[in-house]
Formats: sequence, structure tokens, C-alpha cells
Amino acid sequence: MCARSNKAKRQYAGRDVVQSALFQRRRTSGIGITPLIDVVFILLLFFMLTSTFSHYQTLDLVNASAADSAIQPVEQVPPLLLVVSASMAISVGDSESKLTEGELQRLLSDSIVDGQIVLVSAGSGASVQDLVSVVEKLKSLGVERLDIVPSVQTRREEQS
Amino acid sequence: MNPLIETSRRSGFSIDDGMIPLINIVFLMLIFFMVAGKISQQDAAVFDAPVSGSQAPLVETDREILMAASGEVWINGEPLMVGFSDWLQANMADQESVDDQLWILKVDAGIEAQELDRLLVPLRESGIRRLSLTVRRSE
Repeated sequence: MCARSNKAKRQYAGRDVVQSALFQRRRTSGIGITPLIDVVFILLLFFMLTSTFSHYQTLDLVNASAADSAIQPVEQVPPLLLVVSASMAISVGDSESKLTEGELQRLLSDSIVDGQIVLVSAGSGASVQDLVSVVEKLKSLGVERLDIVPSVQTRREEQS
Repeated sequence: MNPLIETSRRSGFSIDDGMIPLINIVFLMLIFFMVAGKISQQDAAVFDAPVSGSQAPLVETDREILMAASGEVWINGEPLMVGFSDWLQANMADQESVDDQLWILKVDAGIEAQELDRLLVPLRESGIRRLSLTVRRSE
């Protein structure tokens, strides 16, 4: 009786050892979380370093039809030259006086009626941002035939 | 044995359990960068594009001129070592028609507008008509 119970105890103990070993094996053979984190970190670094969030647009600097007319002046109406100075101040041609908002609107409405080409030139102190803002303003006021020409200073240097 | 591992074993949770919030955050960041970001070629130099309300999308082209705030010029990612007119003459001589060519200008908003003449005058003289300035949307 006693020998029988000892044998049964040994069998139970053996089963426990096998179960414990199986449990250990199952735990250790599962997919480790550390390699997963490694891969995710590498992916994160890749996307952080390569991706950009700036979405650019474009602004046409040369209107093809205006450029054609500027190269081959077939029209009798002389173009309207606007010079952009610092802080978006606009003057006509070589004139020193700056145009007010009302004067500019009147001038542009006349030039649109006459079919004039509006040429925009950079004056002293004007930044690229000023030039872009003025071009946009002119377009919003209805000017379609618009072209950007070299500054007065550059043209004088070329002539001399 | 590491005392931290020993303590965690005794209290019934593993180190991996503590890592789960970290992994969640990393996964969220990864998804954000994958969805919101756009993989594109880096510019040759840092430039601050002028602000504009223009809605015209940026067209991919292999003719790109970048003028940084310092006044240095890069063409298609390569620094310009000679005068722009000379470069145009050397590179445009073998091209028959330039009428349909689109050139993208990337110019820093802060530089003087008269600096643009360095690019615009030679481009005009070589017959290039399609010219677009890269701008960024006003916020």
C-alpha cells in the first residue's frame, strides 16, 4: 500500500516537472517584445527624418501671352511699368511719388480697359516677399496681362 | 540577479508590462508621421518660401533653381560655381526647344527682389517663358 502510494507520488511529481518545463518553454519561445520595439523605433526614426510637412504652391512669374507681347511689341499701347519699393510701396515708372490705394485702382482699371500690359519691376529695398505680395494684389484687382521685368538699376547697367 | 527583475517577478508583473504604454506612444507617433508627413527629396539649402494665396500646385520638374538667403544658387541640387548665364549657355546649347520647358524657382522671401534679376535676365535671354516661383500657403 505504502509502496503504491509512493509510486503514485513519484508519478505526480514527474508530471509537475514536465508541465513546468513545458510552461517555461512556451513562455520563452513566444515572440519577444524587444525586437518589435527595435523595429518600430527604426521605422519611427526613418519617418521622422525623411518626411516633410511643408506643402508648397507655385506662382507663375511670366505670363506667356504677356511675355510674347513684351518680346514682340505689336500693340500700340505702351505697357504700364510699376516699381515696387520696400513695404509694398508702388510707384509708376521713374516717378518718386508712391501711389495710394485709390490711385492704383483707378490706374489699373484704366489700363485693363486699354488692354495695357502691366510690367512689375523691383525697386530699391523691396524683398521677394514684397514683389510676390504686389503681384498677388494686382491679380486680385483684375490684372491678367502681367509680367515681371528686370529692375531699373539692372536695365541701366545693361544699357551702359 | 537584477533587483528590479526580482521585485517584478515577485509582484507578478514583468518588465514588458511597463513597456506597453511606451510602445503605444511610439506606435501613435509612427502612424502620425506615416500619415501626415510626405517623403520628398530634401532641398539643397534651407530657404523660407514667400507667402502667397496661390493655389497652383507644385509640379515636379527636373529644372529647379534655388536661391538661398545668402544669395548662393543651386541648380537641381548642385551648387552653381560659374555665372548663371555661362551655365545656361553651356547646358542649353544642345537643347532645341526651350518654349515648353518649365523652370521652378525657389527663392528665399527675405532676399532683395533685385537679386532675382541675376536669374530672370539670363532665363529670358535664353528664351525660357514658363517660370514658376515656389510659394507657401498663407496661414
